Amino acid sequence: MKNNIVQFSNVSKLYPGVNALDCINFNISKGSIHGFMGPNGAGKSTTMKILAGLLKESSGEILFNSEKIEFLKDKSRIAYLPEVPAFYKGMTVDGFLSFCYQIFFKTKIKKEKLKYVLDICGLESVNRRIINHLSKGFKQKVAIAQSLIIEPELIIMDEPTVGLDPLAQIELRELIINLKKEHTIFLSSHLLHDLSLICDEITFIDKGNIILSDTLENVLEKQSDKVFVTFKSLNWSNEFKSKIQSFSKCEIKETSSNNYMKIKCIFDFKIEENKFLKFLIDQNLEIVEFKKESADLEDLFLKGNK
Amino acid sequence: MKGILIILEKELKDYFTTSLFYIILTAFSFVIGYFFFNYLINVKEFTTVTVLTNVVTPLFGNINLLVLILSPLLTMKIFSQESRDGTLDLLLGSNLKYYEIILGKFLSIMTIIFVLLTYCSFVPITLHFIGYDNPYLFFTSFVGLFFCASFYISIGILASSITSNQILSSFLSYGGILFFIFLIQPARATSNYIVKSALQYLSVSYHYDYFAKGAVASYSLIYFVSMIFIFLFITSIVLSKRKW
Repeated sequence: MKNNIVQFSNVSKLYPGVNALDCINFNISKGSIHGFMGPNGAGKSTTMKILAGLLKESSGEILFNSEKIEFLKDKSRIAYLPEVPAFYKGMTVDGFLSFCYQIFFKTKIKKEKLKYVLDICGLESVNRRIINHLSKGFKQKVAIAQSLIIEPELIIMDEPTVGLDPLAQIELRELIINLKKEHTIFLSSHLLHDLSLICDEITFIDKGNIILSDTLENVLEKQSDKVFVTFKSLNWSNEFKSKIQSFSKCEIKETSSNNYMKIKCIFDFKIEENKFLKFLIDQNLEIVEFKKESADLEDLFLKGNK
Repeated sequence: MKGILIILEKELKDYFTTSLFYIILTAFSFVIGYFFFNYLINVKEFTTVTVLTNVVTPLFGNINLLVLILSPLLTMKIFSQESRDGTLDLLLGSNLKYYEIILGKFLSIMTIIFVLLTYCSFVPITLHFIGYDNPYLFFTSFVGLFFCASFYISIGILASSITSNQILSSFLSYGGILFFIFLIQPARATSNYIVKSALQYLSVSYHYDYFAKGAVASYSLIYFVSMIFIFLFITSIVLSKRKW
Protein backbone atom coordinates (compact mmCIF):
# COMPACT_ATOMS: atom_id res chain seq x y z
CA MET A 1 0.00 0.00 0.00
CA LYS A 2 1.31 3.41 -0.95
CA ASN A 3 2.09 5.93 1.76
CA ASN A 4 -0.43 8.70 1.15
CA ILE A 5 0.14 12.15 2.59
CA VAL A 6 -3.30 13.42 1.51
CA GLN A 7 -6.55 11.52 1.12
CA PHE A 8 -9.69 13.15 -0.27
CA SER A 9 -12.82 11.14 0.63
CA ASN A 10 -16.14 12.16 -0.91
CA VAL A 11 -15.30 15.84 -0.73
CA SER A 12 -17.94 18.22 -2.09
CA LYS A 13 -18.04 21.97 -2.26
CA LEU A 14 -21.22 23.84 -2.96
CA TYR A 15 -21.27 27.50 -3.85
CA PRO A 16 -24.68 29.13 -4.16
CA GLY A 17 -26.14 27.56 -7.29
CA VAL A 18 -22.92 25.80 -8.27
CA ASN A 19 -21.60 22.39 -7.33
CA ALA A 20 -17.88 23.14 -7.60
CA LEU A 21 -16.76 19.72 -6.33
CA ASP A 22 -18.92 16.62 -6.46
CA CYS A 23 -17.80 13.89 -4.05
CA ILE A 24 -14.20 13.77 -5.18
CA ASN A 25 -11.86 10.98 -4.10
CA PHE A 26 -8.14 10.82 -4.73
CA ASN A 27 -4.85 10.44 -2.89
CA ILE A 28 -1.47 12.14 -3.04
CA SER A 29 1.54 9.93 -2.33
CA LYS A 30 4.20 11.11 0.06
CA GLY A 31 7.29 12.48 -1.68
CA SER A 32 5.64 12.65 -5.10
CA ILE A 33 5.00 15.46 -7.53
CA HIS A 34 1.28 15.20 -8.10
CA GLY A 35 -0.06 16.99 -11.17
CA PHE A 36 -3.60 18.31 -11.10
CA MET A 37 -5.08 19.05 -14.49
CA GLY A 38 -8.39 20.04 -15.91
CA PRO A 39 -10.03 22.78 -17.94
CA ASN A 40 -10.77 26.23 -16.55
CA GLY A 41 -13.54 26.13 -13.96
CA ALA A 42 -13.09 22.40 -13.37
CA GLY A 43 -12.56 22.84 -9.62
CA LYS A 44 -8.75 22.79 -9.37
CA SER A 45 -8.31 26.01 -7.41
CA THR A 46 -11.24 25.17 -5.13
CA THR A 47 -9.69 21.77 -4.33
CA MET A 48 -6.34 23.39 -3.63
CA LYS A 49 -7.83 26.09 -1.42
CA ILE A 50 -9.74 23.49 0.59
CA LEU A 51 -6.52 21.52 1.08
CA ALA A 52 -4.73 24.73 2.11
CA GLY A 53 -7.45 25.41 4.69
CA LEU A 54 -8.60 28.62 2.98
CA LEU A 55 -12.00 27.18 2.09
CA LYS A 56 -14.24 24.82 4.01
CA GLU A 57 -15.57 21.76 2.24
CA SER A 58 -19.37 21.35 2.24
CA SER A 59 -19.10 17.64 2.96
CA GLY A 60 -16.57 14.83 2.96
CA GLU A 61 -13.25 14.37 4.68
CA ILE A 62 -9.66 15.27 3.93
CA LEU A 63 -6.89 13.48 5.77
CA PHE A 64 -3.39 14.86 5.98
CA ASN A 65 -1.04 12.17 7.26
CA SER A 66 -4.14 10.36 8.58
CA GLU A 67 -5.15 13.48 10.54
CA LYS A 68 -8.31 15.43 9.71
CA ILE A 69 -7.26 18.62 7.98
CA GLU A 70 -9.55 20.87 10.05
CA PHE A 71 -7.81 19.69 13.22
CA LEU A 72 -4.36 20.43 11.87
CA LYS A 73 -2.93 22.82 14.44
CA ASP A 74 0.38 23.60 12.80
CA LYS A 75 -0.47 25.23 9.49
CA SER A 76 3.18 25.39 8.51
CA ARG A 77 2.94 21.74 7.43
CA ILE A 78 1.13 22.83 4.27
CA ALA A 79 2.25 25.73 2.08
CA TYR A 80 0.03 27.23 -0.58
CA LEU A 81 1.11 29.25 -3.60
CA PRO A 82 -1.89 30.88 -5.25
CA GLU A 83 -2.09 31.44 -8.99
CA VAL A 84 -1.29 35.10 -8.45
CA PRO A 85 1.31 35.14 -5.66
CA ALA A 86 0.39 37.44 -2.79
CA PHE A 87 3.08 39.76 -1.51
CA TYR A 88 3.40 42.89 0.54
CA LYS A 89 4.77 44.67 -2.45
CA GLY A 90 6.52 47.41 -0.53
CA MET A 91 8.61 44.92 1.45
CA THR A 92 12.08 43.76 0.52
CA VAL A 93 12.55 40.09 -0.37
CA ASP A 94 14.30 39.20 2.89
CA GLY A 95 11.88 41.35 4.93
CA PHE A 96 8.93 39.54 3.40
CA LEU A 97 10.44 36.07 3.95
CA SER A 98 11.26 36.96 7.56
CA PHE A 99 7.69 38.14 8.10
CA CYS A 100 6.30 34.92 6.56
CA TYR A 101 8.47 32.90 8.93
CA GLN A 102 7.31 34.98 11.91
CA ILE A 103 3.60 34.53 11.25
CA PHE A 104 4.04 30.77 11.33
CA PHE A 105 6.58 30.32 14.12
CA LYS A 106 6.16 33.59 16.05
CA THR A 107 9.89 33.95 16.35
CA LYS A 108 12.55 35.70 14.28
CA ILE A 109 14.19 33.71 11.52
CA LYS A 110 17.85 32.73 11.80
CA LYS A 111 20.12 34.38 9.25
CA GLU A 112 21.53 31.02 8.11
CA LYS A 113 18.06 29.69 7.44
CA LEU A 114 17.11 32.77 5.42
CA LYS A 115 20.35 32.58 3.47
CA TYR A 116 19.78 28.88 2.76
CA VAL A 117 16.31 29.50 1.28
CA LEU A 118 17.48 32.52 -0.71
CA ASP A 119 20.30 30.36 -2.05
CA ILE A 120 18.04 27.45 -3.08
CA CYS A 121 15.65 29.77 -4.90
CA GLY A 122 18.38 31.85 -6.55
CA LEU A 123 17.35 35.05 -4.80
CA GLU A 124 20.66 36.10 -3.18
CA SER A 125 21.23 38.81 -5.76
CA VAL A 126 17.85 40.47 -5.13
CA ASN A 127 17.35 39.87 -1.39
CA ARG A 128 17.48 43.59 -0.53
CA ARG A 129 15.23 44.69 -3.36
CA ILE A 130 11.60 45.73 -3.07
CA ILE A 131 9.38 42.88 -4.30
CA ASN A 132 7.29 45.16 -6.48
CA HIS A 133 10.40 46.07 -8.48
CA LEU A 134 11.22 42.47 -9.36
CA SER A 135 10.50 40.66 -12.63
CA LYS A 136 7.67 38.14 -12.77
CA GLY A 137 10.14 35.23 -12.72
CA PHE A 138 11.79 36.52 -9.56
CA LYS A 139 8.41 37.17 -7.97
CA GLN A 140 7.49 33.54 -8.60
CA LYS A 141 10.75 32.50 -6.97
CA VAL A 142 9.94 34.68 -3.97
CA ALA A 143 6.58 32.91 -3.76
CA ILE A 144 8.33 29.54 -3.71
CA ALA A 145 10.87 30.80 -1.17
CA GLN A 146 7.92 31.96 0.95
CA SER A 147 6.61 28.40 1.01
CA LEU A 148 10.02 26.84 1.64
CA ILE A 149 10.85 29.12 4.53
CA ILE A 150 8.28 27.33 6.71
CA GLU A 151 9.60 23.85 5.78
CA PRO A 152 6.23 22.38 4.83
CA GLU A 153 5.62 18.71 4.18
CA LEU A 154 3.27 19.55 1.32
CA ILE A 155 3.57 22.43 -1.13
CA ILE A 156 0.47 23.31 -3.14
CA MET A 157 1.18 25.28 -6.33
CA ASP A 158 -1.66 26.69 -8.38
CA GLU A 159 -0.43 27.36 -11.92
CA PRO A 160 3.12 28.29 -10.89
CA THR A 161 4.38 28.80 -14.43
CA VAL A 162 1.66 31.17 -15.63
CA GLY A 163 3.08 34.21 -17.41
CA LEU A 164 6.72 33.14 -17.18
CA ASP A 165 9.07 33.24 -20.16
CA PRO A 166 10.50 29.89 -21.37
CA LEU A 167 13.79 30.32 -19.52
CA ALA A 168 12.03 31.12 -16.25
CA GLN A 169 9.74 28.13 -16.82
CA ILE A 170 12.71 25.81 -17.20
CA GLU A 171 14.35 27.24 -14.07
CA LEU A 172 11.15 26.84 -12.12
CA ARG A 173 10.72 23.28 -13.37
CA GLU A 174 14.21 22.40 -12.17
CA LEU A 175 13.53 24.05 -8.84
CA ILE A 176 10.33 22.02 -8.40
CA ILE A 177 12.15 18.79 -9.23
CA ASN A 178 14.79 19.66 -6.61
CA LEU A 179 12.08 20.34 -4.02
CA LYS A 180 10.76 16.81 -4.46
CA LYS A 181 13.66 15.50 -2.38
CA GLU A 182 12.27 16.98 0.79
CA HIS A 183 8.65 17.89 0.05
CA THR A 184 5.53 16.54 -1.56
CA ILE A 185 4.35 18.81 -4.37
CA PHE A 186 0.77 19.15 -5.52
CA LEU A 187 0.61 21.41 -8.55
CA SER A 188 -1.81 22.40 -11.23
CA SER A 189 -0.76 23.62 -14.64
CA HIS A 190 -2.08 24.04 -18.13
CA LEU A 191 1.41 23.33 -19.44
CA LEU A 192 0.81 19.64 -19.96
CA HIS A 193 4.24 19.02 -21.37
CA ASP A 194 5.74 20.39 -18.15
CA LEU A 195 3.48 18.17 -16.07
CA SER A 196 4.50 15.11 -18.07
CA LEU A 197 8.17 15.96 -17.48
CA ILE A 198 8.05 16.42 -13.73
CA CYS A 199 5.01 14.59 -12.33
CA ASP A 200 4.91 11.14 -10.79
CA GLU A 201 1.13 11.14 -10.44
CA ILE A 202 -1.70 12.79 -12.30
CA THR A 203 -5.25 13.61 -11.35
CA PHE A 204 -7.68 14.87 -13.96
CA ILE A 205 -10.70 16.83 -12.81
CA ASP A 206 -13.59 18.11 -14.88
CA LYS A 207 -16.80 19.84 -13.79
CA GLY A 208 -16.05 19.00 -10.17
CA ASN A 209 -15.57 15.27 -10.80
CA ILE A 210 -12.36 13.31 -10.73
CA ILE A 211 -12.05 11.67 -14.14
CA LEU A 212 -8.91 9.71 -13.29
CA SER A 213 -6.12 9.64 -10.76
CA ASP A 214 -3.09 7.39 -11.03
CA THR A 215 0.63 7.34 -11.64
CA LEU A 216 1.70 9.10 -14.83
CA GLU A 217 2.80 5.81 -16.42
CA ASN A 218 -0.49 4.08 -15.68
CA VAL A 219 -2.50 7.06 -16.82
CA LEU A 220 -0.80 7.19 -20.19
CA GLU A 221 -0.86 3.43 -20.66
CA LYS A 222 -4.43 2.78 -19.55
CA GLN A 223 -6.02 5.81 -21.05
CA SER A 224 -4.27 5.73 -24.37
CA ASP A 225 -6.52 3.88 -26.79
CA LYS A 226 -5.05 5.69 -29.77
CA VAL A 227 -1.76 5.15 -31.53
CA PHE A 228 -0.06 7.89 -33.50
CA VAL A 229 2.32 7.04 -36.33
CA THR A 230 4.13 9.91 -37.98
CA PHE A 231 6.33 9.69 -41.07
CA LYS A 232 7.83 12.00 -43.64
CA SER A 233 7.51 11.05 -47.29
CA LEU A 234 9.15 12.47 -50.41
CA ASN A 235 6.59 11.10 -52.88
CA TRP A 236 3.28 11.34 -51.05
CA SER A 237 0.05 11.40 -53.06
CA ASN A 238 -3.65 10.77 -52.50
CA GLU A 239 -3.20 7.31 -53.96
CA PHE A 240 -1.11 6.33 -50.94
CA LYS A 241 -3.75 7.77 -48.68
CA SER A 242 -6.44 5.42 -49.96
CA LYS A 243 -3.99 2.49 -49.89
CA ILE A 244 -3.24 3.13 -46.22
CA GLN A 245 -6.91 3.36 -45.39
CA SER A 246 -7.62 0.10 -47.15
CA PHE A 247 -4.77 -1.49 -45.13
CA SER A 248 -6.07 -0.24 -41.83
CA LYS A 249 -8.75 2.27 -40.95
CA CYS A 250 -7.20 5.42 -39.56
CA GLU A 251 -7.41 9.17 -39.56
CA ILE A 252 -4.73 10.81 -41.71
CA LYS A 253 -3.46 14.34 -41.25
CA GLU A 254 -1.09 15.86 -43.82
CA THR A 255 1.28 18.77 -43.41
CA SER A 256 3.33 19.91 -46.36
CA SER A 257 6.89 21.11 -46.13
CA ASN A 258 9.47 22.20 -48.73
CA ASN A 259 10.72 18.79 -49.79
CA TYR A 260 8.42 16.36 -48.09
CA MET A 261 4.99 15.75 -46.64
CA LYS A 262 4.58 15.05 -42.95
CA ILE A 263 1.85 12.46 -42.43
CA LYS A 264 0.24 11.66 -39.10
CA CYS A 265 -1.88 8.49 -38.94
CA ILE A 266 -4.14 8.17 -35.92
CA PHE A 267 -5.31 4.63 -35.17
CA ASP A 268 -8.12 3.90 -32.72
CA PHE A 269 -6.47 0.58 -31.79
CA LYS A 270 -3.02 -0.85 -31.20
CA ILE A 271 -1.06 -1.64 -34.32
CA GLU A 272 2.28 -3.29 -34.95
CA GLU A 273 4.40 -0.50 -36.32
CA ASN A 274 6.91 -2.78 -38.03
CA LYS A 275 4.15 -4.36 -40.13
CA PHE A 276 2.79 -0.94 -40.97
CA LEU A 277 6.25 0.29 -41.96
CA LYS A 278 6.78 -2.77 -44.15
CA PHE A 279 3.43 -2.10 -45.82
CA LEU A 280 4.42 1.48 -46.58
CA ILE A 281 7.76 0.45 -48.05
CA ASP A 282 6.04 -2.25 -50.14
CA GLN A 283 3.90 0.51 -51.64
CA ASN A 284 7.12 2.21 -52.86
CA LEU A 285 6.61 5.14 -50.53
CA GLU A 286 9.86 7.02 -50.01
CA ILE A 287 10.09 7.47 -46.28
CA VAL A 288 12.75 9.61 -44.62
CA GLU A 289 11.49 9.41 -41.05
CA PHE A 290 9.09 7.09 -39.23
CA LYS A 291 8.05 7.09 -35.59
CA LYS A 292 5.33 5.75 -33.37
CA GLU A 293 4.08 7.95 -30.55
CA SER A 294 1.84 7.09 -27.69
CA ALA A 295 -0.75 9.45 -26.32
CA ASP A 296 0.50 12.25 -24.14
CA LEU A 297 -1.21 14.40 -21.53
CA GLU A 298 -2.42 16.75 -24.20
CA ASP A 299 -4.38 13.97 -25.87
CA LEU A 300 -5.69 12.94 -22.50
CA PHE A 301 -6.74 16.50 -21.75
CA LEU A 302 -8.53 16.81 -25.09
CA LYS A 303 -10.16 13.44 -24.63
CA GLY A 304 -11.29 14.41 -21.14
CA ASN A 305 -12.78 17.64 -22.46
CA LYS A 306 -14.74 15.78 -25.13
CA MET B 1 0.45 37.87 22.32
CA LYS B 2 3.54 37.44 20.12
CA GLY B 3 1.28 37.27 17.08
CA ILE B 4 -0.26 40.64 17.97
CA LEU B 5 3.20 42.19 18.26
CA ILE B 6 4.28 40.74 14.89
CA ILE B 7 1.29 42.30 13.13
CA LEU B 8 1.63 45.54 15.13
CA GLU B 9 5.30 45.87 14.16
CA LYS B 10 4.58 45.18 10.49
CA GLU B 11 1.69 47.65 10.33
CA LEU B 12 3.61 50.41 12.11
CA LYS B 13 6.55 49.92 9.75
CA ASP B 14 4.09 50.30 6.88
CA TYR B 15 2.66 53.52 8.31
CA PHE B 16 5.90 55.16 9.32
CA THR B 17 7.67 54.37 6.04
CA THR B 18 4.96 55.78 3.81
CA SER B 19 4.10 59.41 3.17
CA LEU B 20 0.41 59.00 4.13
CA PHE B 21 1.12 59.19 7.86
CA TYR B 22 3.23 62.33 7.55
CA ILE B 23 0.65 64.01 5.32
CA ILE B 24 -2.07 63.22 7.87
CA LEU B 25 0.12 64.44 10.76
CA THR B 26 0.89 67.69 8.94
CA ALA B 27 -2.73 68.34 8.02
CA PHE B 28 -3.89 67.45 11.54
CA SER B 29 -1.31 69.77 13.15
CA PHE B 30 -2.21 72.62 10.82
CA VAL B 31 -5.97 72.33 11.40
CA ILE B 32 -5.69 71.98 15.20
CA GLY B 33 -3.22 74.87 15.38
CA TYR B 34 -5.51 77.01 13.24
CA PHE B 35 -8.57 76.33 15.41
CA PHE B 36 -6.64 76.84 18.65
CA PHE B 37 -5.19 80.15 17.49
CA ASN B 38 -8.60 81.44 16.35
CA TYR B 39 -10.42 80.39 19.51
CA LEU B 40 -7.69 81.95 21.60
CA ILE B 41 -7.63 85.37 19.91
CA ASN B 42 -11.42 85.56 20.11
CA VAL B 43 -11.41 85.33 23.91
CA LYS B 44 -11.76 88.85 25.22
CA GLU B 45 -11.27 88.10 28.89
CA PHE B 46 -9.18 85.21 30.18
CA THR B 47 -11.06 83.58 33.04
CA THR B 48 -11.46 79.91 33.88
CA VAL B 49 -15.01 79.92 32.54
CA THR B 50 -14.34 81.80 29.29
CA VAL B 51 -11.31 79.69 28.41
CA LEU B 52 -13.27 76.52 29.12
CA THR B 53 -16.36 77.50 27.14
CA ASN B 54 -14.69 79.43 24.30
CA VAL B 55 -11.46 77.47 23.80
CA VAL B 56 -11.19 74.06 25.44
CA THR B 57 -14.67 72.64 24.85
CA PRO B 58 -15.01 73.68 21.17
CA LEU B 59 -11.40 72.75 20.44
CA PHE B 60 -11.77 69.22 21.79
CA GLY B 61 -15.07 68.97 19.90
CA ASN B 62 -13.16 69.80 16.73
CA ILE B 63 -10.41 67.32 17.53
CA ASN B 64 -13.11 64.68 17.96
CA LEU B 65 -14.54 65.65 14.56
CA LEU B 66 -11.10 65.39 12.96
CA VAL B 67 -10.53 61.98 14.53
CA LEU B 68 -13.93 60.96 13.17
CA ILE B 69 -12.90 62.07 9.67
CA LEU B 70 -9.47 60.44 9.86
CA SER B 71 -10.44 57.09 11.37
CA PRO B 72 -12.19 55.64 8.28
CA LEU B 73 -9.31 56.91 6.12
CA LEU B 74 -6.85 55.04 8.32
CA THR B 75 -8.93 51.86 8.54
CA MET B 76 -10.30 51.63 5.01
CA LYS B 77 -7.32 49.68 3.68
CA ILE B 78 -6.61 47.59 6.74
CA PHE B 79 -8.37 44.45 5.47
CA SER B 80 -9.73 45.67 2.12
CA GLN B 81 -6.30 46.03 0.58
CA GLU B 82 -5.09 42.74 2.04
CA SER B 83 -8.15 41.06 0.58
CA ARG B 84 -7.62 42.68 -2.82
CA ASP B 85 -3.89 41.86 -2.89
CA GLY B 86 -4.44 38.28 -1.70
CA THR B 87 -2.22 38.76 1.36
CA LEU B 88 -5.18 38.21 3.66
CA ASP B 89 -5.11 34.53 2.70
CA LEU B 90 -1.45 34.49 3.69
CA LEU B 91 -2.33 35.82 7.15
CA LEU B 92 -5.43 33.67 7.61
CA GLY B 93 -3.53 30.59 6.39
CA SER B 94 -0.75 31.16 8.92
CA ASN B 95 -0.50 30.06 12.53
CA LEU B 96 -1.79 33.43 13.73
CA LYS B 97 -5.18 33.44 15.43
CA TYR B 98 -7.86 35.74 14.07
CA TYR B 99 -7.86 37.80 17.25
CA GLU B 100 -4.09 38.31 16.96
CA ILE B 101 -4.44 39.66 13.42
CA ILE B 102 -7.37 41.91 14.32
CA LEU B 103 -5.88 43.23 17.56
CA GLY B 104 -2.48 43.79 15.91
CA LYS B 105 -4.10 45.94 13.27
CA PHE B 106 -6.38 47.69 15.76
CA LEU B 107 -3.46 48.58 18.02
CA SER B 108 -1.39 49.82 15.10
CA ILE B 109 -4.04 52.42 14.20
CA MET B 110 -4.53 53.27 17.86
CA THR B 111 -0.80 53.97 18.01
CA ILE B 112 -1.16 56.39 15.11
CA ILE B 113 -4.10 58.07 16.84
CA PHE B 114 -2.09 58.21 20.06
CA VAL B 115 0.73 59.99 18.22
CA LEU B 116 -1.77 62.50 16.79
CA LEU B 117 -3.40 63.11 20.17
CA THR B 118 -0.01 63.42 21.85
CA TYR B 119 0.72 66.22 19.43
CA CYS B 120 -2.38 68.02 20.84
CA SER B 121 -0.68 68.20 24.24
CA PHE B 122 0.61 71.60 23.13
CA VAL B 123 -2.89 72.92 23.97
CA PRO B 124 -2.76 72.44 27.77
CA ILE B 125 0.93 73.44 27.80
CA THR B 126 0.18 76.73 26.00
CA LEU B 127 -2.83 77.41 28.21
CA HIS B 128 -0.69 76.71 31.27
CA PHE B 129 1.61 79.58 30.26
CA ILE B 130 -1.33 81.99 30.01
CA GLY B 131 -2.50 80.96 33.45
CA TYR B 132 -5.20 78.35 32.72
CA ASP B 133 -4.65 75.02 34.52
CA ASN B 134 -7.17 72.21 34.61
CA PRO B 135 -5.15 69.00 34.25
CA TYR B 136 -8.01 66.70 35.27
CA LEU B 137 -10.30 68.10 32.56
CA PHE B 138 -7.59 67.76 29.94
CA PHE B 139 -6.88 64.21 31.06
CA THR B 140 -10.54 63.13 30.85
CA SER B 141 -10.97 64.92 27.51
CA PHE B 142 -7.97 63.07 26.06
CA VAL B 143 -9.21 59.78 27.50
CA GLY B 144 -12.65 60.47 25.97
CA LEU B 145 -11.08 61.24 22.61
CA PHE B 146 -9.01 58.09 22.80
CA PHE B 147 -12.07 55.95 23.53
CA CYS B 148 -14.05 57.66 20.77
CA ALA B 149 -11.19 57.01 18.32
CA SER B 150 -11.05 53.35 19.41
CA PHE B 151 -14.78 53.11 18.83
CA TYR B 152 -14.56 54.68 15.34
CA ILE B 153 -11.62 52.48 14.44
CA SER B 154 -13.37 49.28 15.52
CA ILE B 155 -16.26 50.22 13.20
CA GLY B 156 -13.76 51.00 10.43
CA ILE B 157 -12.00 47.67 10.87
CA LEU B 158 -15.31 45.83 10.62
CA ALA B 159 -16.24 47.79 7.47
CA SER B 160 -12.85 47.02 5.95
CA SER B 161 -13.29 43.29 6.57
CA ILE B 162 -16.65 43.30 4.77
CA THR B 163 -15.48 44.58 1.40
CA SER B 164 -12.32 44.62 -0.68
CA ASN B 165 -13.28 48.05 -2.03
CA GLN B 166 -11.56 50.73 0.04
CA ILE B 167 -13.95 53.52 -0.94
CA LEU B 168 -16.96 51.43 -0.02
CA SER B 169 -15.23 50.48 3.22
CA SER B 170 -14.75 54.15 4.17
CA PHE B 171 -18.39 54.96 3.34
CA LEU B 172 -19.56 52.07 5.49
CA SER B 173 -17.35 53.35 8.31
CA TYR B 174 -18.70 56.89 8.07
CA GLY B 175 -22.24 55.53 7.95
CA GLY B 176 -21.70 53.39 11.04
CA ILE B 177 -19.98 56.13 13.02
CA LEU B 178 -22.57 58.80 12.17
CA PHE B 179 -25.35 56.36 13.05
CA PHE B 180 -23.98 55.99 16.58
CA ILE B 181 -23.38 59.74 16.89
CA PHE B 182 -26.83 60.80 15.73
CA LEU B 183 -28.66 58.30 17.90
CA ILE B 184 -28.70 61.14 20.41
CA GLN B 185 -31.21 63.06 18.23
CA PRO B 186 -34.13 60.59 18.46
CA ALA B 187 -33.19 60.12 22.12
CA ARG B 188 -33.81 63.85 22.70
CA ALA B 189 -37.01 63.79 20.69
CA THR B 190 -38.74 60.86 22.36
CA SER B 191 -40.72 61.16 25.57
CA ASN B 192 -40.63 57.43 26.28
CA TYR B 193 -38.16 57.08 29.15
CA ILE B 194 -37.01 53.54 28.32
CA VAL B 195 -36.46 54.27 24.61
CA LYS B 196 -34.76 57.56 25.50
CA SER B 197 -32.41 55.87 27.96
CA ALA B 198 -31.61 53.05 25.53
CA LEU B 199 -30.87 55.40 22.62
CA GLN B 200 -28.84 57.71 24.84
CA TYR B 201 -26.79 54.83 26.12
CA LEU B 202 -26.12 53.61 22.57
CA SER B 203 -25.10 57.05 21.34
CA VAL B 204 -21.36 57.69 21.40
CA SER B 205 -21.79 61.50 21.74
CA TYR B 206 -23.72 61.04 24.99
CA HIS B 207 -20.75 59.25 26.54
CA TYR B 208 -18.13 61.58 25.08
CA ASP B 209 -19.92 64.60 26.58
CA TYR B 210 -19.23 63.25 30.07
CA PHE B 211 -15.53 62.92 29.38
CA ALA B 212 -15.44 66.43 27.88
CA LYS B 213 -16.98 67.81 31.06
CA GLY B 214 -14.36 66.13 33.22
CA ALA B 215 -16.58 63.29 34.40
CA VAL B 216 -15.67 59.64 33.90
CA ALA B 217 -18.66 57.38 34.36
CA SER B 218 -18.07 53.67 34.77
CA TYR B 219 -20.99 52.89 32.45
CA SER B 220 -19.33 54.99 29.72
CA LEU B 221 -16.16 52.95 30.09
CA ILE B 222 -18.23 49.78 29.90
CA TYR B 223 -20.01 51.15 26.83
CA PHE B 224 -16.78 51.87 24.93
CA VAL B 225 -15.03 48.65 25.89
CA SER B 226 -18.04 46.48 25.09
CA MET B 227 -18.82 48.21 21.77
CA ILE B 228 -15.18 47.92 20.66
CA PHE B 229 -15.19 44.26 21.67
CA ILE B 230 -18.47 43.63 19.78
CA PHE B 231 -17.24 45.24 16.54
CA LEU B 232 -13.89 43.44 16.65
CA PHE B 233 -15.63 40.17 17.46
CA ILE B 234 -17.97 40.61 14.46
CA THR B 235 -14.85 41.30 12.37
CA SER B 236 -13.43 37.91 13.38
CA ILE B 237 -16.73 36.27 12.37
CA VAL B 238 -16.66 38.04 8.99
CA LEU B 239 -13.09 36.85 8.41
CA SER B 240 -13.93 33.28 9.37
CA LYS B 241 -16.92 33.34 6.98
CA ARG B 242 -14.49 33.82 4.09
CA LYS B 243 -13.92 30.07 4.27
CA TRP B 244 -17.54 29.33 3.51
